[in-house]
Amino acid sequence: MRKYLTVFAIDWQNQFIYRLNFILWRLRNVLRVLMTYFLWTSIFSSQTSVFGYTREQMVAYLLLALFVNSLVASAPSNDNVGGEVSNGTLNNFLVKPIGYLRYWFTRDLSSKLLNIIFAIGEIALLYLLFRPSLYVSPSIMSILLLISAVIIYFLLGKLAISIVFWAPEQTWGLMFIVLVLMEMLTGLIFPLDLLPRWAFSALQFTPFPYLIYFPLISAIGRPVAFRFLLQSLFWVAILYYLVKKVWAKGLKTYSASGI
Amino acid sequence: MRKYISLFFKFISLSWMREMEYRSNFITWMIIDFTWSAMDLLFMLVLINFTQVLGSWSKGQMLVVLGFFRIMVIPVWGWLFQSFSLIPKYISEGMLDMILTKPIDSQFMVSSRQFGFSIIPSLFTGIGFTLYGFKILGMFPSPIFIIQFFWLAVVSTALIYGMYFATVACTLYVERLNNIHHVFTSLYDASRYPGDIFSPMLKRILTTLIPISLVIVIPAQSLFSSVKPFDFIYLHIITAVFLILSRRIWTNGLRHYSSASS
Repeated sequence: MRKYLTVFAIDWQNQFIYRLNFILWRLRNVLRVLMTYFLWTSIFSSQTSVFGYTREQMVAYLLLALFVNSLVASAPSNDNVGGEVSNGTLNNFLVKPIGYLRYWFTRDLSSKLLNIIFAIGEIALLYLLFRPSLYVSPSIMSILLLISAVIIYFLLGKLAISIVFWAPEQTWGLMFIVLVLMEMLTGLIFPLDLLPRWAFSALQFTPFPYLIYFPLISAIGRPVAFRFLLQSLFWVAILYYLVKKVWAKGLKTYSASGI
Repeated sequence: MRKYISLFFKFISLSWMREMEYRSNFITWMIIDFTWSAMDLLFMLVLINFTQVLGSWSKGQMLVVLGFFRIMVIPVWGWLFQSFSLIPKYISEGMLDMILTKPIDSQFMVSSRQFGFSIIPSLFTGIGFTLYGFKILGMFPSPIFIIQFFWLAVVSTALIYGMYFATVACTLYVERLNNIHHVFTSLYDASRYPGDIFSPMLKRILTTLIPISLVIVIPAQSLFSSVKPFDFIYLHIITAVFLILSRRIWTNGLRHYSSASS
């Protein structure tokens, strides 16, 4: 455990090397929230509610989505693991007494902490700007859904990246498909219950709504059935099993090419 | 001039060869591009479900604009992003030295080094969305409107080039600014929405300081309504301003460049 704490501490310090670069990354996230905000505001200018959401509720949803997204989707592992496998740098880790995926999960946690700190500042700023009625009521359910979302995102990413063991040029491809789907299907830019009922029901059979939508609506006090927590944990279990199997197979075919 | 044109096409053909070297990667990125178009359409359909008008646009007009936005993905992602994303790397790793010593303009070299072809599906989805938009509108633009549209599309591409290059040229002044692309691409995403949805101050910024609001809207609008003479002239002037500005930022920045690791 101590070695992972050290990894966490070192990564935390590393993140402050290129501060301006990080700030630009955060600026990008804020810009996206701002654009979505103006878009929804324009829609609410002609009507008072959309599928049970008032303008204030929608703004609150978008602001909190910024927070949940910072917590769930901040994962430098997705940018690095594929490259390390394809160029052979994975060797450095295989000979060390450290779990490779645990090492990256620890680094992801460090990145999440920094992103959350910034997200809180950004939300405060946007709150002062737009003054939405921000209602947050975190419960054990919402915390469990959030933890589950963080793990699902990590495992989903590693599963998508593991294709690199068999196709070394695919360091990003499959992961990027997941990211594109995440953009719309997780509830990052609109609440998923705005979708037609059949589409929303179908989405519940995928891991996407458990990444942002369910943790978020649970945190804003909307009722979330207990079965959604079970379904979220079910995805954690399935993905954990798949990642373990696929990585074990992948490591057997791994030939450290590129070194 | 002929040398530059010939080099430009040489770089395109080299990029094509590079893409064909990793075919599975090429196909995967084509799938990604298609998925992206599908997601854009999904979001638009969700919006259309709730509102008849977005800003001052009707459903059909929204689809025409989305279609043109997808078509413009070809120069933006297939050319500019591919070449410009290498610039921070050239600078931080000292590879810019190699470019500076070549008997060719360095701005041209860094601007046309790499092209991507996996965005080809955007051409088809973009045309598809546009035609569907016109079907809803119950009209089709006249040949003069189409000629005007093509010209404005070329000018818009030049404006995007100017803005994007001015942004990435800043990496010559500050070390490690890889994420500067993400700021620009986030702004570019906003270009598909009508300026009327933004607050008056933001609208002013997005049409003057960062004129991203013009690059998609003016050419796309020219297909279904006449362009105001002021907008037409303004687009040309602001394009010239950004092309000159980006050149200045680059040439001045080169004086700051002190090489690294080479």
